[in-house]
Amino acid sequence: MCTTNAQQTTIAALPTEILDIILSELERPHIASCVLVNQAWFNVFSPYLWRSIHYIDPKPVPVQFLGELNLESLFYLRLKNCIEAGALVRNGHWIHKVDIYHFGIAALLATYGETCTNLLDLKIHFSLDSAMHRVDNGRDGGGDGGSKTLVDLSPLITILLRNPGLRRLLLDKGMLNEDNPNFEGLLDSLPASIESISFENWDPLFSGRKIFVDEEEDSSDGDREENDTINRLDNENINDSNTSMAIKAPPTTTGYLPNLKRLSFKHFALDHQEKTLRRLLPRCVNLETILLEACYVVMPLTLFSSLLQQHCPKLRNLFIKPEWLALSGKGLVDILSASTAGWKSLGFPQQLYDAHLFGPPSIAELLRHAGTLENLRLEGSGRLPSFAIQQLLSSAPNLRRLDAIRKDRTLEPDFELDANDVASGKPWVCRKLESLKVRIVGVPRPDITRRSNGRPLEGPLHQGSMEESRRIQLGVYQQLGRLTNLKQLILGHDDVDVTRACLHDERLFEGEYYREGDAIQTGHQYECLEMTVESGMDAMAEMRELRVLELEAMEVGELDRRWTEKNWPQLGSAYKDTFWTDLGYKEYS
Amino acid sequence: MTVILVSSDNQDFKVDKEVAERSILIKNMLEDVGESDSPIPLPNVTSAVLTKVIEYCEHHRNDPVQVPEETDDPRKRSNDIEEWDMKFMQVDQEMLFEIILAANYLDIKPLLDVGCKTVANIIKGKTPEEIRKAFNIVNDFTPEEEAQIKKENEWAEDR
Repeated sequence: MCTTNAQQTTIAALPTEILDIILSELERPHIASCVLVNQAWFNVFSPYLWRSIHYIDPKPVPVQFLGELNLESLFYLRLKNCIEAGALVRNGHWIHKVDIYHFGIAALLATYGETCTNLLDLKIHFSLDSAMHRVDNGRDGGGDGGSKTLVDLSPLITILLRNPGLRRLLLDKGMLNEDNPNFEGLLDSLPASIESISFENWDPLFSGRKIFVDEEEDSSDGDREENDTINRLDNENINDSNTSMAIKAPPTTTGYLPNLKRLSFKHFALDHQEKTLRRLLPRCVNLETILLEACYVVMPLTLFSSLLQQHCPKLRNLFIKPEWLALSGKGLVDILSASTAGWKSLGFPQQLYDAHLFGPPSIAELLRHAGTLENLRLEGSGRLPSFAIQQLLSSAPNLRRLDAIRKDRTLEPDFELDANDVASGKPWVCRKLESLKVRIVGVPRPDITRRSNGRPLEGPLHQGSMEESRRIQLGVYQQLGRLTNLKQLILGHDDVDVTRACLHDERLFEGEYYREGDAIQTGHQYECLEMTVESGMDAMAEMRELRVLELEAMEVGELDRRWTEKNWPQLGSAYKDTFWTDLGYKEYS
Repeated sequence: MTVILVSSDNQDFKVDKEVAERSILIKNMLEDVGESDSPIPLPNVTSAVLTKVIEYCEHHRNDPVQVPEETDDPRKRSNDIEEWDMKFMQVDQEMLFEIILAANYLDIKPLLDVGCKTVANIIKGKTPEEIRKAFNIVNDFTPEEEAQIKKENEWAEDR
């Protein structure tokens, strides 16, 4: 870059890394101005402007919900005008990402986007309004126009065939209708480069598949089909124990999808999308992660699970986020048995209601994976019994993280580990454990006889001998003391959502929560560990890696403070793990 | 202790070592060479630009060394140019880009950031014509070309 002054230094001389810094300060409308400055600027800025086609919410949002949708429709219409004016000829090859709530974009890209061959991300949602149930063969931008035909999938197929480097794809609503004659063609058009596919918002049982069927068609046909589906459901419920449901020969596919590591299903009727599963899963030979969100998995997942077992030997990570409906019984056992390699990460994240109901078969299935488990997130499964976690901690040598405390308390209680189970159980073996978040309760505390609001405590935990209390506490300390790699230990909330706490206070817990100034006392300090030198903290002296310690609100004496300073020298320094964010749980803190 | 920097047009600049070491490139060079009086050639930087860069480094000679920690929060980064830096950056567009290039080459991160922010601030909220004026740029589009490009990019003009 010799600046001989023979020619002027312009923006075109700046290398990409510098342009990236400048661009990071600019918003899309600013860049739109830049492309119109002159030829040099046009060449520099066009790739940035066209890299991602997505609607940006105006902020702050002064409009009401419907108004916002209209704004996105306006955005789409503006984009449509530009594309019809030939914009893709010049710019199509810059596009890496399309994320828009209008199926019409598929037709536009198919018709005008011959240059649009460098897509990495394709997310076309149906618009939230009219196109939800009826799409007029996709050509008029997904309006609610006349004929109620099936979604025309051919534009989508055209786009897939043109983009051999596509990495991430979303298939939404009517695109997933198995009745569509082009549906299998769509799955067969997936490029080998694909890394992640999301299936969203398709549930023929609940949203009424008939709506998507051509009106011209004999209506009795549709009825029969729905009945069939329901019959199948019933059969599966009856044959609960029959896990080896007959698997038909794998379909002829267009080859493996070696890069596909992650499948995500959201509001998707898993076991009733048979064609989808049979057509796709046999190609997913390197699949590692499955995310289920708001899937109605109260039903058995026999087909899903057995296809995964058969074709996806690398499946190691599973996250289940149900919505309202509980995941239980057969469905949970089925999905837990899907990994032949053994689960490495299992996530049952927090829900508004306790949605993961572990019964004896699913607990047994969970424990069967103790040998491989590294990350276990259980805070959405409050009813997992204490003995199961004690068993896990004493049989999972690779565990790095166990998380069973909710971020804030809801109406559902936290999962609780009973001190007696811990103290009398087998020694903990998870020496790699870095983070443990679990409420240990059930410690006899005869030294506490009154609640913090003055009312007496009368349970058996407050009546025994102090000797017995210390024996159990020492047992727990000894278990914890084995976790020599532990960096974060969270045994209770030190902050509580006051509104919810008050709710508990009056209705359920007889004043275990109360508020005094800003100091909020939490619910279990009457039966938790003392965490004092006197009660035997010396047993935890080897936890020298400890950085974060959270307890129920309680007092720490001078002696205890000096002890922790001496034995846990790193306490207070920052610790941030990325286990969950690595696996796609961004919201996790 | 001083070092001698030589610009591309062979001018010598005598600079305090502490000032020169605001440039990570020079700092590393000095560390590699050890104690030495030999001048440091900077073939990518003209004397005009080097004068400006040295002026910046002189002014910021006592700044704490920037921690190479990335701030993900864009609000934290933008619009916080010091008054002195802002004045310092009031140069013609060619000099502005030359300073940015030199800062990049010499590895002076704070100067690079200030330069990039200055460019971004000039662009923000302006029409294409206003940007041309601000950077003294001639519009080399034909009217037809300009109209077509405008038509093709209208989707991005507001959000």
